[in-house]
Amino acid sequence: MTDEPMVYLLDDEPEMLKALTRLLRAEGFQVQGFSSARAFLGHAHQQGPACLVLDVAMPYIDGLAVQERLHQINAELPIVFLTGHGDIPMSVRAMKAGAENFLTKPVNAAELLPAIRGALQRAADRHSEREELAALRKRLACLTPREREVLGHVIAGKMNKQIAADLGTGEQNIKVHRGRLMRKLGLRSVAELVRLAQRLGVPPAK
Amino acid sequence: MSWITILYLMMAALSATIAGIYLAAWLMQRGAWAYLMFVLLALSIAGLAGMELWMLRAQTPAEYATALRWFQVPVWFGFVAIVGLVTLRLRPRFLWLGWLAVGLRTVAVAATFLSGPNLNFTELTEIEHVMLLGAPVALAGEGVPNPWMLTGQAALLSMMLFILDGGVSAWRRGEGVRSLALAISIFVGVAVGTAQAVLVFWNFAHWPILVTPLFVFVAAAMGSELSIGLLRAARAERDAQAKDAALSVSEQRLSLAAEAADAGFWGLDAQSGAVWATAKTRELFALPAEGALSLGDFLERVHRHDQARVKQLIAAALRSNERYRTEFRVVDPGGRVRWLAGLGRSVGPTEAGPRTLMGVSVDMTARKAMLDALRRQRARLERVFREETLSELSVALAHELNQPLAMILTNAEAAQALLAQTPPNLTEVKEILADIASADRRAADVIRHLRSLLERGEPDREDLLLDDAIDRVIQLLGNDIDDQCVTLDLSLAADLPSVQADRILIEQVLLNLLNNACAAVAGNPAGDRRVSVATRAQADGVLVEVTDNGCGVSDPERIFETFYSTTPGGLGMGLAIVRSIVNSHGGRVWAESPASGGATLHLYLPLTAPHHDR
Repeated sequence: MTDEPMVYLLDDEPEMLKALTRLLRAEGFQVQGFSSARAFLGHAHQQGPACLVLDVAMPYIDGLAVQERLHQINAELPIVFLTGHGDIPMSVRAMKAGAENFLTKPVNAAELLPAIRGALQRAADRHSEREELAALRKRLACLTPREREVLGHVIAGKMNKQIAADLGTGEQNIKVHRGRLMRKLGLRSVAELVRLAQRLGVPPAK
Repeated sequence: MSWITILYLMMAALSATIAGIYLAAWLMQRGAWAYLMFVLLALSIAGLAGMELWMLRAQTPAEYATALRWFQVPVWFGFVAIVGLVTLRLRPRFLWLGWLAVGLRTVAVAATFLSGPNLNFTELTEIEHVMLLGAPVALAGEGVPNPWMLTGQAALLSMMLFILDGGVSAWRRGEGVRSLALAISIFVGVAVGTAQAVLVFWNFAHWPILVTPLFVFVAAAMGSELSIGLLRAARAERDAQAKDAALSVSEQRLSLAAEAADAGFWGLDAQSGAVWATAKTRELFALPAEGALSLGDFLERVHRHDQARVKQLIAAALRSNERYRTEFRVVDPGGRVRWLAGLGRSVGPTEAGPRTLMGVSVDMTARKAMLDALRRQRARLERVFREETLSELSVALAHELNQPLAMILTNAEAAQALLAQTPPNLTEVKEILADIASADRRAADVIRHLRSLLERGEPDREDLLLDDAIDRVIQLLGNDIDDQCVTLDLSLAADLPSVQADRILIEQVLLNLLNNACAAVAGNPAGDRRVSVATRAQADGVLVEVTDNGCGVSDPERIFETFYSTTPGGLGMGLAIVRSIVNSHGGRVWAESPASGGATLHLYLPLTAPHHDR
């Protein structure tokens, strides 16, 4: 699978789906079209950045329900909604639930393309962040149990002496562990360590 | 008292009584101169009886002579009476005979008083007495006959001829046996009297003079004839009273019915043009409660737009025996308009003889107003319903058209992008164009379908007077026109024929045209907003023109297109609907907008629309 950004299209009108697919392909997007929500939800999504262009007024499962399902399965796809008749309560609901944009049909390329680009940008940002965190987690996993223990105490703001007392060992010992874990994580300051722990959700020791 | 006395007194009394009865009859029936003549006859008989009794009972020749002299007076009266009665009853051809008889008799009476003691004797020396009915009665004995007596007898003779002439004339006229019998009876009576006079007074016989019974006989003959007439008159009177009573009952019934129906009755005498009318009719037409009326007075009250029609109807009704029924407006002096329903038929001979047109008029204003209100309410409901439907349809339309439109737009933009590539992907552009075309066709189908939904059915046709429709629409618009300071000028043709049309739809059309005209002049200064409505009869239809001095229209044909609107916020449906309604009536609607400004919308409706095939 490539990391090329992918645009998923979901519209129950095959003709409309075809037209949108053509337009987006001509504009150089990687496009995959679905004419039913079930087909889309059952499809294995690629790992790279992607967004969804979604027609709200679909039969059986409407656009908003699709948005909800995607939340449930934790698939963080930015969504561009298309609607036949822009009705305000619906658009408010969609935007609150994190929609990227809400456009009224018939939609101009001049509106649609920037919206899709924006959505893909967001997807790309999220993707790279996700990859960075994955690398950090991998490094965190390299720490020995003792080093993890020391890390918890460090980010709780304790001095080496205190940590030594808490863990029932010598201050010199703590210094060595601390130096090793900083090297393993590739960090230089305690501040950097605290931010990393926050991003990865490591709790400080009590 | 002797029998003779009793008999004569009875005859006198009876005659007087009969005279009284006939005098009363004559007083009640002044035209019946025969009654008066009979009174004269009866009175003369009473006089005769008195004089004759005097003669019969005379003791000396001088007394007899005096009685005989006065005897001529009642004879003269009786004579005149008999001539009069014969003249009246038998109508003889030779009236001069009657005049001759009366003239001679008058001479005789004159001679009686001028020539001697009496007409009959120049000198009476002796009277005799004979026994009659057990009593002695006097009769002339020795005397010298008076030659003047001949005049009296000549009078008798001419009267007999007169009576004969009367009898013959009556017989010739075919009046039957009764007249002839009457003539013979009178003739016999007079003839016997004459014979008696000749025999006694020329000394051929010695009899007492007994003229009275003969007169009584004549009177009886005459009286029986007259009393038949009197009885008939009484019966006729009774019948007339009964008829009057019946008539008054039927009149009362009629007036009760009229009151219940709140109807006015009237009758027109075709010859004189005079009209009698009940109080209610006068009230309905706002005419004075008293005084003579003519057809003109009534027509003057009829609304000027209905006058020609009503006149025609009356003329037609007078020519035939057909019943007519119509509705028309009357305007009272205060300008208040009321609707009357009229029903009438002429009675009398069908030929050009005198005819009477009888009719009933009923006030329809309230009923008409109620019907109008109902119709208007229905029209309003229908309009609301149509608007509601229209808004629903437009939502559906927007949705239905949105899909193909969105598709066309997206495809077109995709094609643009494809053509911008190097090299351009023409194969896909071709496919895209095919898809665009099919989407376009789909959109057209949607619109066609929608139009078929909006089509209305056959109009509900009735006889429609466009004047009325215009009146009602102006009433509906009244406040709007005033509020907008629009000056409305009407010039409606007086005798516009009615058209076969759906009243509600045509009113909708007129409402639309007037509304548009008012909207068109809204931009003018307040004093210069003019709209005029004119109607004109054409050979086979009616033309209505609504003209305004507004801004005019740039394209007089486009304004009839659906969704073409010149007013902000307008749907652009009004004139499209107008044209579809007018077309369904077989009519035409078109606009003209001269370069000088303003616009005229022409609406033409045929008198009888052919049923429209869709």
